[in-house]
Amino acid sequence: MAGRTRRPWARVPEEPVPVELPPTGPEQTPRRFTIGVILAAKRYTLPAAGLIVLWQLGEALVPVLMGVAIDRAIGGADPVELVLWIGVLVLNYLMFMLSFQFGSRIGLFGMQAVQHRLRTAVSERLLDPGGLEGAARLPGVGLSVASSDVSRLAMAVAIAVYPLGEFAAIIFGGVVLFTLSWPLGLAVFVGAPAMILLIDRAGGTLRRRSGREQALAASAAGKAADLMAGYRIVTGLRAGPEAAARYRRSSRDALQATLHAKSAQGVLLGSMNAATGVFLAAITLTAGWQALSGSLSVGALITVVGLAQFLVGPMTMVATNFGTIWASATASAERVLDVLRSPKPYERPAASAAFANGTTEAAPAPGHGAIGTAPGAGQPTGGDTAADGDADTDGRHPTDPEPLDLDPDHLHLDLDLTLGAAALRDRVAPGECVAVPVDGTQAAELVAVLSGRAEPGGGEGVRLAGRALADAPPGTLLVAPHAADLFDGTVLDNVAVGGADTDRALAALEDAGCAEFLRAMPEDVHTAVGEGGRRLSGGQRQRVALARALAQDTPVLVLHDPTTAVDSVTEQAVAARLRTCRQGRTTVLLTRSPALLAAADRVLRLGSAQETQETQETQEPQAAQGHEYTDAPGTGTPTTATTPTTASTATTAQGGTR
Amino acid sequence: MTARDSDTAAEAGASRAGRRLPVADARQVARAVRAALGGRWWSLAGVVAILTAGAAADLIAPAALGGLVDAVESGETGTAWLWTLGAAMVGGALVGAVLTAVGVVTASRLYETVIAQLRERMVARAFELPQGMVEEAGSGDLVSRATDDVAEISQAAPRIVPALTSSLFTIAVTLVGIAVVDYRYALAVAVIVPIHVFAVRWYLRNAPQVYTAQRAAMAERAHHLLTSLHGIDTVHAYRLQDRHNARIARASWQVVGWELRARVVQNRFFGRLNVAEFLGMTGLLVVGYLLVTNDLGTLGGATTAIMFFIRLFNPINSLLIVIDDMQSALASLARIVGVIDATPEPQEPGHDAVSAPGDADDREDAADNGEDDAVSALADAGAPPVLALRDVAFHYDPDRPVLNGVSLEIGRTETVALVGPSGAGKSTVAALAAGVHEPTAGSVRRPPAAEGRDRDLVLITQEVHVFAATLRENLTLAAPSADDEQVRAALATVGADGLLARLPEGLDTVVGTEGHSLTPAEAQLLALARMVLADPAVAILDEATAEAGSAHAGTLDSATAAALSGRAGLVVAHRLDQAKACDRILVIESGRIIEEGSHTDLRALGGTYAALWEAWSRQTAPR
Repeated sequence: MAGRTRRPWARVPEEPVPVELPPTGPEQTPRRFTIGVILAAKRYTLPAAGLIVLWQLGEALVPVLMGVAIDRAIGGADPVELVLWIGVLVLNYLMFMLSFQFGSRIGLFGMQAVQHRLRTAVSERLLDPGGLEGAARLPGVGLSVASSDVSRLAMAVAIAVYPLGEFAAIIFGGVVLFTLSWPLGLAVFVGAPAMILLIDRAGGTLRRRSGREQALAASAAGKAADLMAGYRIVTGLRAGPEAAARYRRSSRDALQATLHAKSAQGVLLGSMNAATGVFLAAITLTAGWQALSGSLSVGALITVVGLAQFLVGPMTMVATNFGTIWASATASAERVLDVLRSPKPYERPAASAAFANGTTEAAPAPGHGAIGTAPGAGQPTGGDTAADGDADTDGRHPTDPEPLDLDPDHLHLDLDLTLGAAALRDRVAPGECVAVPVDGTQAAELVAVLSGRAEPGGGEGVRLAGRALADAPPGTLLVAPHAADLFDGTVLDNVAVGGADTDRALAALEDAGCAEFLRAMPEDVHTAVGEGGRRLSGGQRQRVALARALAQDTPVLVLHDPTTAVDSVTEQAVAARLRTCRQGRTTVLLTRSPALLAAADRVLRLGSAQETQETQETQEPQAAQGHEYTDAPGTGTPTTATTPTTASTATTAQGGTR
Repeated sequence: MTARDSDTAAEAGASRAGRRLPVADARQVARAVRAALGGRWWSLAGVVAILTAGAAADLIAPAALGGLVDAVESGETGTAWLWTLGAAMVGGALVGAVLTAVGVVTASRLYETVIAQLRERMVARAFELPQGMVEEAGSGDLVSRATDDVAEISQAAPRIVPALTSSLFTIAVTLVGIAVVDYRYALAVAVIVPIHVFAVRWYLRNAPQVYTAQRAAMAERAHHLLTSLHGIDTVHAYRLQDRHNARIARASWQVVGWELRARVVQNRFFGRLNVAEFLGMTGLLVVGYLLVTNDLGTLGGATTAIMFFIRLFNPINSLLIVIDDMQSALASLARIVGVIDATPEPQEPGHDAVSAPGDADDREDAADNGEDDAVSALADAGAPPVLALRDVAFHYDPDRPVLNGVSLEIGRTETVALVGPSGAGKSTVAALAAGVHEPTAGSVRRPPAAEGRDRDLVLITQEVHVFAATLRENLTLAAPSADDEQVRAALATVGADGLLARLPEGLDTVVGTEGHSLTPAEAQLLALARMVLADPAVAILDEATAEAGSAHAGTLDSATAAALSGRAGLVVAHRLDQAKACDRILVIESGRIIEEGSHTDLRALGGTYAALWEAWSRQTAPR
């Protein structure tokens, strides 16, 4: 395998090759970053550039050799010369063909390796638990940075390969012409840069136009994607004709823009061809005049014209490609940099570093991992090394200093925060199952605070066993998101994640009320859920997601409206089982669903923010009251006499705050 | 882990490819392109003429060089001849440049217009196809055709068409030019044609599968990226980022492999073309030597022939290298035309009530059935039902029936609720009633079409989508002719006037992915407002208020009631208070209707519904 890695042109190595990306610090500019990217894979681009130079020289040699052969073999009517020059031609072809074969491959491999490295860096940043700021938070934008922008930026690596060869060919051609006739050589050395500049300038307008064209074409494509994403809504409303008419309008706009750009392209193409044609005619005429006056042989005349004709290729290539690639690469570099150095709004830097290193520090060493996320900063960032992430997600860190007392009997959860105009101030006793009847906005705020993504608007926040949430090791507290996002793989793959093994996953599927529909499926728990879980209905997806949360078996579990897409019959069954399967561990339900409220030991009461301020001093009795509740129904039967009463008072209070 | 992952991916891939939408054959594609060309045949002819003339003009310069060589050889001619040749070269270059540019622009206008027409017809057709057909194929198939395949063609055409047009003409005209110099030079060039043929055949044998794999690998990579980004909260909550990063990295490295393999195939192809070039040059040298030494031709002639030949390299390469682009573009085109030409599988006539023999008979039968199955007859005495399912059965797999013997009728202003556990078949009843699927047995009668409509029926599912457009456009999708007054009224009906007041630019506020984001509950209200604007005779709501969360249930319930008033409604009810609000309730279990009646009737019956309600009201009593 090591051998393969060293010979990428023979076979693709199985593991990504290491590539050093340029720094992404605050001083980095897109231009410098692009240059850094171009130079990132020197191991591959240098040899590739050398071979590409050889290839271009060989190509440039063809007209030279032909000129000599015509002159000496045909003009001189010499069969030996004919065989000799055909032999030289063979060698030249062999040389440049091989150079091209390998130069092109090695160069591409270098470019792809850089691209891969950039892509993994971007995707790791996008998935980083520290979160993102700016537009890249939108999945569509993130995807386009990680795919298109990364590709365009990596294209810049080609600048280190092909233009070098093209320049080499131009210089070689100029030198040859110079030796044959100095005015011709001078014409190339002056004419080539002038033409390259001219074409590049003229191309600038075209690039801007084609940028607009692409934007409009993309908007037509986006329109189609958006309409198609709402396919069921459109067909449900029988609004197909109207949707098609709207698509047609944006398609026509895109067409108009494209046609405009095409005309500009035509003008550019025409002037480019005219310029090169006149340039060639001028060289031919000069050489012809010299040949007529006897200062140039016929063979040299052919060489001159053949070479000049060949040089047009590299010249236009440099002129059209270099600028285009550079412009689009730097534009993309800016977006890539934006993602790579986006601030991490949810990160607690010091904590996560200490936690990841496992160093023993006096300060509690925690991490945002505590709220159910792994400390990404500590992971090796090379996508190449992330062979299998499962190993990293098994929860408690062995060398965690001053570990939190994980004994479930001591994990009491103190809530003290304001949610809009309401205040939540209570203690959830260890092993208690409580419901918090919050509305949508309050739930979103509470979820954000509990998962460490936001500071509470007021109050002391949330403390677990008397410590800040950030101190809790991963796997202590899980805030299961409301969105039932499933990923590729089977039902079981989706549930047996993180710390959950197969047995626990199977038990959790049973508890979440999945058994019934799974039995009806062709391969039971091994049924593939399809892209985004789309082979399951909304209710089924939600129950699988609930099973995934239950399977984690965390000491504290927060569920946000886990049964909204589930019918009331199933919901009731799920609620009852939830009580039993979370026995002895703390469960917080953010919901107003009657079935879940009924299943909870206690329904927390939301006061008004002001009232809480006033009762600040009487904190102790309140906490004690929390214990009192647990003592009564704590042992598990969901429908003890106290439950409806508490639910009743709570909902009354909630009614008041509405 | 790795093995298991790839296994499931393969499985998913295999079953995903199961019942795709049709792909057009070559004849259909040709017909569709001809149709899209419309009456533009004359511009096509014009393009051909212009490009031929342009290619011919481009030959003047190399031919003039040959004349120059002969002039130098003979040593007789003076500078006047040189100036003539010079003028011809410059003139040829300018005329050739202008003609080629005009030709390429004209050609691109032509093909861009054709592509635009094809994509528009494709999207229009996509919305006309029976929904069941699309759903069976997976709506992803349709989406990928409307986006990826359209993009593929739009991007490939600018590479292919210029190469095809200008290269093809340059090659043809240059070959003629070589033959004009001396037919024996043309023979020397013709000898290498088999090598080109061989190279192209080799390429077409090897390239497409590599490109297909490359594209599949890219799609896989995008898929892993996108699902991870969409489910980012879940990824973080379960600390799955390493696993997902590993998946993305693995998919990304797969792409690298395929890119490289594709390049190797391409390079070997170019290698073969290089061999052809070499052999052609050698042949020309040998023929030139023989002709000139035997006084059958001039040195200038040999020069011209060789210069012509050197000029062929680029056009030949650029023509042959787009062959695979052309192949993949044709594949995309076939998938697009496949949708345009797609014809739904013929439905058995009995299924569609519009063609069913007599309404009266139907009603009698329904009544009979009602007695037999303990399903009561229509509540709306006298008036014919607007929606009727009679003895309907449905299954995907004959061994696993989903529905069996389901009959129901809904009167003009009646609302009917479907209640039952998940998986009982509620959504299937809704889908059959809406015509998404056709029943495997029995018949469905839907409201007859009103002016300009497919059917006077609207289906709202739990899927909510806010279109990336203004709020007004989001709503008028359902009724294009509605004015602002009607739009505001519809919003007010469902109690969304508050939403309107909150948006910064009112109806002109851009909402959806790139605009103002709406909460799930607001999106649901929008869906209901669309329905009010569409004003159908029958509205089917399948878990239409499910995703918004229990917190908003009250608001949405009253919005639903307002939206349904005055029309027939079939509501798949999640919560029993939704059901209670309906005129009639059907309880479904295991694909059969087991109870039917009003809330009061069913409670009195003391059956399943009564038990459900008992449990439900015990929970909700404190309310």
